[in-house]
Amino acid sequence: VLRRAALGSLAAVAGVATGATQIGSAFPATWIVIGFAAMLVGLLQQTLP
Amino acid sequence: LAASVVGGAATGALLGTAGGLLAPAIRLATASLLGLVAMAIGASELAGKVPLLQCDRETPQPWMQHGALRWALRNGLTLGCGATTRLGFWLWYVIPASALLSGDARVGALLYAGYGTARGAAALLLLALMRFGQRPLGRDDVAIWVLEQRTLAQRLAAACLLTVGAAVAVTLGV
Repeated sequence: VLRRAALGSLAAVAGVATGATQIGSAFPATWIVIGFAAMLVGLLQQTLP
Repeated sequence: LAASVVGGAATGALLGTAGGLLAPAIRLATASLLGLVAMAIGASELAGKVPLLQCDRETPQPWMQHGALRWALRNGLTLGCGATTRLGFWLWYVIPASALLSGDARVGALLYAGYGTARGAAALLLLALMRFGQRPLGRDDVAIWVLEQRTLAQRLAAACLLTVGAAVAVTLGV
Protein backbone atom coordinates (compact mmCIF):
# COMPACT_ATOMS: atom_id res chain seq x y z
CA VAL A 1 0.00 0.00 0.00
CA LEU A 2 2.82 2.37 0.93
CA ARG A 3 4.68 1.59 -2.29
CA ARG A 4 1.56 2.26 -4.35
CA ALA A 5 0.95 5.50 -2.44
CA ALA A 6 4.59 6.53 -3.00
CA LEU A 7 4.41 5.81 -6.73
CA GLY A 8 1.06 7.59 -6.95
CA SER A 9 2.49 10.65 -5.20
CA LEU A 10 5.49 10.70 -7.52
CA ALA A 11 3.24 10.41 -10.54
CA ALA A 12 1.17 13.34 -9.21
CA VAL A 13 4.30 15.49 -8.78
CA ALA A 14 5.58 14.54 -12.23
CA GLY A 15 2.14 15.27 -13.66
CA VAL A 16 2.00 18.73 -12.10
CA ALA A 17 5.55 19.51 -13.28
CA THR A 18 4.83 18.32 -16.82
CA GLY A 19 1.52 20.14 -16.95
CA ALA A 20 3.23 23.29 -15.69
CA THR A 21 5.70 23.29 -18.56
CA GLN A 22 2.92 22.74 -21.08
CA ILE A 23 0.59 25.51 -20.06
CA GLY A 24 3.30 28.13 -20.13
CA SER A 25 2.34 29.97 -16.94
CA ALA A 26 4.39 27.52 -14.92
CA PHE A 27 5.30 29.62 -11.91
CA PRO A 28 2.20 28.94 -9.72
CA ALA A 29 2.37 25.24 -10.55
CA THR A 30 6.00 25.13 -9.44
CA TRP A 31 4.93 26.44 -6.05
CA ILE A 32 2.44 23.55 -5.86
CA VAL A 33 5.30 21.12 -6.57
CA ILE A 34 7.47 22.76 -3.90
CA GLY A 35 4.57 22.78 -1.41
CA PHE A 36 4.01 19.10 -2.05
CA ALA A 37 7.73 18.44 -1.48
CA ALA A 38 7.58 20.36 1.81
CA MET A 39 4.71 18.23 3.08
CA LEU A 40 6.30 15.03 1.83
CA VAL A 41 9.58 15.64 3.64
CA GLY A 42 7.65 16.41 6.84
CA LEU A 43 5.98 13.00 6.63
CA LEU A 44 9.14 11.16 5.58
CA GLN A 45 11.07 12.50 8.56
CA GLN A 46 9.01 10.17 10.73
CA THR A 47 11.16 7.35 9.30
CA LEU A 48 14.30 8.82 10.91
CA PRO A 49 15.80 6.75 13.73
CA LEU B 1 0.74 19.88 15.99
CA ALA B 2 -0.39 23.48 16.48
CA ALA B 3 3.06 24.48 17.76
CA SER B 4 4.69 22.76 14.80
CA VAL B 5 2.46 24.69 12.36
CA VAL B 6 3.18 27.98 14.15
CA GLY B 7 6.93 27.24 14.29
CA GLY B 8 6.97 26.52 10.57
CA ALA B 9 4.85 29.55 9.64
CA ALA B 10 6.99 31.91 11.75
CA THR B 11 10.25 30.61 10.28
CA GLY B 12 8.83 30.83 6.75
CA ALA B 13 7.57 34.38 7.30
CA LEU B 14 10.99 35.46 8.60
CA LEU B 15 12.80 33.88 5.64
CA GLY B 16 10.30 35.33 3.17
CA THR B 17 10.76 38.80 4.67
CA ALA B 18 14.55 38.43 4.51
CA GLY B 19 14.30 37.27 0.91
CA GLY B 20 12.26 40.36 0.07
CA LEU B 21 15.34 42.44 0.85
CA LEU B 22 17.22 40.76 -2.00
CA ALA B 23 16.92 42.06 -5.55
CA PRO B 24 14.56 39.94 -7.72
CA ALA B 25 17.36 39.30 -10.23
CA ILE B 26 19.56 37.83 -7.49
CA ARG B 27 16.72 35.62 -6.23
CA LEU B 28 15.98 34.42 -9.76
CA ALA B 29 19.61 33.63 -10.51
CA THR B 30 20.04 31.82 -7.17
CA ALA B 31 16.86 29.81 -7.75
CA SER B 32 18.06 28.78 -11.24
CA LEU B 33 21.38 27.63 -9.82
CA LEU B 34 19.75 25.81 -6.90
CA GLY B 35 17.37 24.06 -9.32
CA LEU B 36 20.37 22.52 -11.07
CA VAL B 37 22.03 21.66 -7.72
CA ALA B 38 18.78 19.99 -6.56
CA MET B 39 18.70 17.90 -9.75
CA ALA B 40 22.31 16.83 -9.27
CA ILE B 41 21.87 15.92 -5.58
CA GLY B 42 18.54 14.17 -6.26
CA ALA B 43 20.10 12.05 -9.00
CA SER B 44 23.13 11.25 -6.80
CA GLU B 45 20.87 10.30 -3.89
CA LEU B 46 18.93 7.92 -6.12
CA ALA B 47 22.24 6.23 -6.97
CA GLY B 48 23.50 6.15 -3.38
CA LYS B 49 23.52 8.09 -0.13
CA VAL B 50 24.94 11.61 -0.27
CA PRO B 51 26.40 12.93 3.04
CA LEU B 52 23.94 15.41 4.54
CA LEU B 53 24.70 18.75 6.21
CA GLN B 54 22.63 18.80 9.40
CA CYS B 55 22.67 19.38 13.17
CA ASP B 56 21.53 15.77 13.78
CA ARG B 57 20.07 16.50 17.21
CA GLU B 58 17.22 14.84 19.05
CA THR B 59 14.78 16.44 21.50
CA PRO B 60 16.79 17.26 24.68
CA GLN B 61 15.65 14.99 27.51
CA PRO B 62 15.56 17.82 30.14
CA TRP B 63 12.69 19.42 28.17
CA MET B 64 10.46 16.54 29.26
CA GLN B 65 10.87 17.53 32.90
CA HIS B 66 9.05 20.83 32.37
CA GLY B 67 5.57 19.32 32.03
CA ALA B 68 3.73 17.79 29.06
CA LEU B 69 2.30 21.05 27.68
CA ARG B 70 5.54 23.05 27.79
CA TRP B 71 7.47 20.12 26.36
CA ALA B 72 4.96 19.63 23.53
CA LEU B 73 4.96 23.36 22.73
CA ARG B 74 8.74 23.62 22.68
CA ASN B 75 9.18 20.40 20.74
CA GLY B 76 6.47 21.37 18.25
CA LEU B 77 8.05 24.78 17.59
CA THR B 78 11.45 23.14 17.07
CA LEU B 79 10.09 20.45 14.76
CA GLY B 80 8.12 23.01 12.75
CA CYS B 81 11.30 25.02 12.17
CA GLY B 82 13.26 21.83 11.53
CA ALA B 83 16.70 23.44 11.14
CA THR B 84 18.00 22.34 14.55
CA THR B 85 16.62 18.79 14.33
CA ARG B 86 17.69 15.67 12.47
CA LEU B 87 16.85 16.42 8.84
CA GLY B 88 17.54 13.08 7.21
CA PHE B 89 16.81 14.16 3.62
CA TRP B 90 18.32 16.70 1.23
CA LEU B 91 14.74 17.44 0.19
CA TRP B 92 14.34 19.43 3.43
CA TYR B 93 16.57 22.21 2.08
CA VAL B 94 13.95 22.95 -0.58
CA ILE B 95 11.74 24.47 2.15
CA PRO B 96 13.99 27.21 3.62
CA ALA B 97 15.49 27.93 0.19
CA SER B 98 12.05 28.35 -1.38
CA ALA B 99 10.75 30.45 1.53
CA LEU B 100 13.77 32.76 1.27
CA LEU B 101 13.74 33.03 -2.51
CA SER B 102 9.99 33.66 -2.61
CA GLY B 103 10.76 37.09 -1.16
CA ASP B 104 7.25 37.19 0.32
CA ALA B 105 6.42 36.63 4.00
CA ARG B 106 3.00 35.12 3.20
CA VAL B 107 4.32 32.65 0.63
CA GLY B 108 7.20 31.70 2.94
CA ALA B 109 4.82 31.21 5.88
CA LEU B 110 2.37 29.13 3.82
CA LEU B 111 5.13 26.92 2.42
CA TYR B 112 6.86 26.35 5.75
CA ALA B 113 3.53 25.87 7.59
CA GLY B 114 2.78 23.03 5.15
CA TYR B 115 5.96 21.36 6.30
CA GLY B 116 5.19 22.02 9.97
CA THR B 117 1.70 20.58 9.56
CA ALA B 118 2.95 17.42 7.87
CA ARG B 119 5.75 16.91 10.38
CA GLY B 120 3.42 17.37 13.36
CA ALA B 121 0.64 15.29 11.78
CA ALA B 122 2.99 12.39 11.02
CA ALA B 123 3.20 11.56 14.73
CA LEU B 124 -0.61 11.68 15.01
CA LEU B 125 -0.92 9.38 11.98
CA LEU B 126 1.32 6.83 13.66
CA LEU B 127 -0.69 7.08 16.87
CA ALA B 128 -3.89 6.50 14.89
CA LEU B 129 -2.26 3.49 13.22
CA MET B 130 -1.38 2.08 16.63
CA ARG B 131 -4.88 2.61 17.97
CA PHE B 132 -7.13 1.87 14.98
CA GLY B 133 -4.98 -0.49 12.85
CA GLN B 134 -6.26 -3.88 11.68
CA ARG B 135 -4.52 -5.50 14.64
CA PRO B 136 -3.28 -3.94 17.86
CA LEU B 137 0.21 -2.54 17.34
CA GLY B 138 2.74 -1.84 20.04
CA ARG B 139 5.18 1.06 20.05
CA ASP B 140 8.01 -1.29 19.03
CA ASP B 141 6.00 -2.74 16.11
CA VAL B 142 5.40 0.73 14.70
CA ALA B 143 9.01 1.84 15.29
CA ILE B 144 10.35 -1.22 13.45
CA TRP B 145 7.87 -0.81 10.60
CA VAL B 146 8.81 2.87 10.20
CA LEU B 147 12.53 2.08 10.21
CA GLU B 148 11.98 -0.62 7.58
CA GLN B 149 10.56 2.03 5.24
CA ARG B 150 13.75 4.11 5.45
CA THR B 151 15.19 3.06 2.07
CA LEU B 152 11.87 3.69 0.34
CA ALA B 153 11.63 7.07 2.06
CA GLN B 154 15.18 7.95 0.94
CA ARG B 155 14.39 7.09 -2.68
CA LEU B 156 11.07 8.90 -2.57
CA ALA B 157 12.73 12.05 -1.19
CA ALA B 158 15.52 11.84 -3.80
CA ALA B 159 13.02 11.45 -6.65
CA CYS B 160 10.98 14.37 -5.32
CA LEU B 161 14.12 16.53 -5.06
CA LEU B 162 15.00 15.67 -8.66
CA THR B 163 11.46 16.57 -9.75
CA VAL B 164 11.47 19.87 -7.83
CA GLY B 165 14.86 20.77 -9.29
CA ALA B 166 13.64 19.96 -12.80
CA ALA B 167 10.41 21.94 -12.28
CA VAL B 168 12.36 24.99 -11.06
CA ALA B 169 14.94 24.70 -13.84
CA VAL B 170 12.29 24.35 -16.56
CA THR B 171 10.15 27.16 -15.11
CA LEU B 172 13.02 29.61 -14.84
CA GLY B 173 14.27 28.64 -18.29
CA VAL B 174 17.74 27.43 -17.36
